Amino acid sequence: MVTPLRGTDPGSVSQLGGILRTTAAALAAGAAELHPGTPLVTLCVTTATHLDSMGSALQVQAQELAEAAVARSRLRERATAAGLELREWSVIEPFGVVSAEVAARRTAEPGPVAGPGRPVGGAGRSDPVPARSRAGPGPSSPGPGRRGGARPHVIGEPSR
Amino acid sequence: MPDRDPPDVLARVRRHALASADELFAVDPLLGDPTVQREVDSFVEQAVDALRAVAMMAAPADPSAPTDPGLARW
Repeated sequence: MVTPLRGTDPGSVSQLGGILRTTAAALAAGAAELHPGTPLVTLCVTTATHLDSMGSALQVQAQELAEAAVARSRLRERATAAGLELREWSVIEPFGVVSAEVAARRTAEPGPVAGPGRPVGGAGRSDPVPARSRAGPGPSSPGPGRRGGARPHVIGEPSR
Repeated sequence: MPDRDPPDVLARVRRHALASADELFAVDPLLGDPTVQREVDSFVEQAVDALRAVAMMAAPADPSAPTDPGLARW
């Protein structure tokens, strides 16, 4: 089941768009039967134009909201399957200690990466670097135990 | 002049305008973005004002003319 994005309801947005467009069509049809050039006809035509334009935009918006919700749902499924979590539009590693095997796999395998307007994972995505790699100290650091405030050793710096 | 327009057409335009104004206020769209939400809410209010203006202009000028039941809501 796809959950709508927080604070959105594509159905109500689409409904409002439909009402606006239906109203615009009714006004335009009425205006066509009246004597042209009167203030009433001018008002009907102007109002109908704006209502239709806004109704159309709202219906497009509703479709995009629904598509975004589906994309987010798929992203969550992929993240969960990979043992990761989805927060807002960011894929993150869950808190807690992981085994060396899991940590090594997370480092080696590219995971799902998403952001607003960015394609989700797979071939052809624009940014192949997983978010967790960008956030971490780098691929040269040891996999297991590198999280949780581990500090990379700097050559020349006295060891503690 | 509006009084030369067919009364049935005027009545229909008026009825549509009033009904649509009610319908617009009955829907509560959730857009998820505060700025977009404000803009859309503002647009709907202006649209309702415009529709009521249409209904008012389409009202029969003669008080003795048969009135639409929707008038009572005004």
